[in-house]
Amino acid sequence: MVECLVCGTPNAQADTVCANCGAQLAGGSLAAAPALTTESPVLDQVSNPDVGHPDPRGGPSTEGAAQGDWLAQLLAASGDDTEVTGPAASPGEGFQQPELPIWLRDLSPEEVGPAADVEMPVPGDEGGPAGEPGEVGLLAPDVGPDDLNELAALSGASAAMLSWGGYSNQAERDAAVDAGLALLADELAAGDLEDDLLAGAIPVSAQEGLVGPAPQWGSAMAASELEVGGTGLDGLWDGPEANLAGQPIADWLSVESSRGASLVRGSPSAAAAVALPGLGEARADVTGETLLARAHLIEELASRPSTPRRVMSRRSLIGRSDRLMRLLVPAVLVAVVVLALVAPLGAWGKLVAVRLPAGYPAGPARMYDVVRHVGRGDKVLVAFEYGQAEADELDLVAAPVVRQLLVQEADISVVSTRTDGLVAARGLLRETLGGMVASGAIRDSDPGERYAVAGYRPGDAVGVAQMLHADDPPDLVVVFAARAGPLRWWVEQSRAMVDPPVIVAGTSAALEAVTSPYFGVDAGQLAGAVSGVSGAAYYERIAKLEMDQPAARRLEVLAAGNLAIVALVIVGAAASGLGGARDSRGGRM
Amino acid sequence: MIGALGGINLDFVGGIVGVVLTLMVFSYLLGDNPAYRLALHLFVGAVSGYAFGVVSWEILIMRVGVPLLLGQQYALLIPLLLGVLLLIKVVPKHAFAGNVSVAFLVGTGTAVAISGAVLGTIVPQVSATARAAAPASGANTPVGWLDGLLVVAGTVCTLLAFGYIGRRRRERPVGCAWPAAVVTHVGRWFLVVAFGVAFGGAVSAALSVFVGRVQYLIDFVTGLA
Repeated sequence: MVECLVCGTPNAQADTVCANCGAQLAGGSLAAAPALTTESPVLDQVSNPDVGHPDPRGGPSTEGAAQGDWLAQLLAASGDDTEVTGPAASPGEGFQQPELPIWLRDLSPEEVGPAADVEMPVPGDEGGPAGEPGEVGLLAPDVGPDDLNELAALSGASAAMLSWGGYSNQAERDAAVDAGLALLADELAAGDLEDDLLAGAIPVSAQEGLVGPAPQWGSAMAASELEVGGTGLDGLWDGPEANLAGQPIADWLSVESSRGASLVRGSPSAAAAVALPGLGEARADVTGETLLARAHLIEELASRPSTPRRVMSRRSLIGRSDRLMRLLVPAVLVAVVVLALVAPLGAWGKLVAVRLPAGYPAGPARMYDVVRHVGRGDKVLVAFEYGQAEADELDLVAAPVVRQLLVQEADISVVSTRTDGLVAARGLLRETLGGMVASGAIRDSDPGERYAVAGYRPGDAVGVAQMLHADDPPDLVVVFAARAGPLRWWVEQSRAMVDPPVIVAGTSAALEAVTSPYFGVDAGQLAGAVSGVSGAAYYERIAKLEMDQPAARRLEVLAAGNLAIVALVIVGAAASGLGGARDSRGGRM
Repeated sequence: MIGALGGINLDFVGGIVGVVLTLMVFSYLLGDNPAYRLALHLFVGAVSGYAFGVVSWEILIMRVGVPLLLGQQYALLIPLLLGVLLLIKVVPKHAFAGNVSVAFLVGTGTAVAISGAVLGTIVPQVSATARAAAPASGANTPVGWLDGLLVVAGTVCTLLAFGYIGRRRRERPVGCAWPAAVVTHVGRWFLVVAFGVAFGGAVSAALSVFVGRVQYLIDFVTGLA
């Protein structure tokens, strides 16, 4: 009796067509397959073990003589020593009819149709009766990582290969097999596929997206690989290797090859690769081309030296001295700053107490002079070009200027080219107004009467130009900037006007080098400038504001911090010098 | 005071959140850790969300939507259309539709930036440098002439330091004449000094922000007592 590979119906030995589904009974595939002769370069390895098999990458291999007993088993499985026939050929005496997989049974009546009409897809051909790759049991192109998609595309070649009907000649089929194996071997060597499979990056649903289930031998092999030393080969093969079921995996692997055993035992990638959909789903052809391909793959993998990954932990890259310094520097800084803020400095305070020079630097003095001449109702555009992250420094710079403008009852419009600039502006104005009411400088703190928030203006330099070219141009522009870009926009766009307004700037200490050219050398682009906490302290002293002088107090803490930094630099340099001298002595010894 | 909500002092809650987030950021001093990353993501997310809200309210609604609904400025339909075309660029098939908006943005931005750079930086700075070289510029101070000389020499030498033009000499490496080499060397020293000043300012600014944060923590703790 010959069992139909499509529907499983037993037929008479003499029948060539299944009585149930009409499929040809010549082989286990969907279409009649040509006889596979030893002209195939792959099968040349089987029939002539002494000849090195061609490397999938194109280079000849010299490993043919070391293939061992597994080749003999393969030849035995093929049933003929001189002419190996594929699954579509008539089975010989030793040919054991494979069990038809469930997915193939499910496909056969509805989607496959009569065997004679079926054209299996070839690589790169998305058309054909099989339709989309997903319909033939492949991963859909949009699921899973790219490497699996590539393999899925190649598994189309595998499916076509198994059918024996998708290629016009033997060489084309062999080339597709070799290309698929080479790509798979590359993926395994790179370890990406291994990581994806083991880390669960490939969702189970994607693996279950196959029309048919994953082959049993693959699952068993993967499970046994994870439990090295155990037995996991029950029901692994239905072919000649079935007698090895229940044996330790090492014994089975010795059948394949000794190097393959070591490879699979040492690396989970081999098991994962063999369990790949597409390459392993054709359980029915396990005694044919699939078995040869699998053996070819293992041989190819075994011929490659394994290169262990060099994984260096981050901790090992950081030396002990680096870790110590990373903890010591902030600890010292925190201690010094906290002490300077909360503890009475006493005699030590005299060391860090800042004595501002008697004279006034030009920047704060000119800025105060400009702001002092702002009269009641003069239109002043105040640009807050800093956010909350820089507010701890820039608030000290902006507070005395804003306070002076509020006292002089200028018509203040608050703008910003940063979305978070208005947050900083509202916070500063609220605190300043509250402080002025508390000190009696003003009677009420209604923000609506004191200033107007003109809002956020996008467009960077274009937005700045729009604000400056408004119908009612400002008499004075005050820019508080933490970055160089916004300061440059304001300066440049104001100078590009026919009648430029007066501009003064309060910037971060980091921008002092940027601000100086605009203010110094009589460029005249900035009428006044205050940079950093020191500039703010000068401005407070010049303005003689009836308020606390937070910038002056901050300056003392900054001086203490700077002193600590200098001490740390000296200690670090000394330690480095001593360490270097010791290392050099050790090197000479 | 921000106020109270259901008996909860929002200032206090905000202070607690601020203290916790500050400590989470400071934990980076001990190494990269989940607390630091959480604070970082919160900061980025909050800033992005706030920016989206500001742009939506102040630009799309107040500057475009309301005037259009009131029928005051139909010319705003043009930037609105350009904005919609720009959004279409997310669809690759129709991305070409947004090229007009991109061209408008690039053209306008370039024109404004170039005019600003020329009229606002190059011309005034060259003029100021030339004035600094004039003898009259140092008349007010005893060392005014030295100031002007430094400005001119620094500017010229620094600009020449970026000139990588040499001459191939027989059996000698490519180089320039010794006067040019001296000027280039001096220019590099000016650059070193400028970078040092910039670095010092950056350290001072960072230390100032650090002091501000520590001050915030201390004020909060002392406020609880």
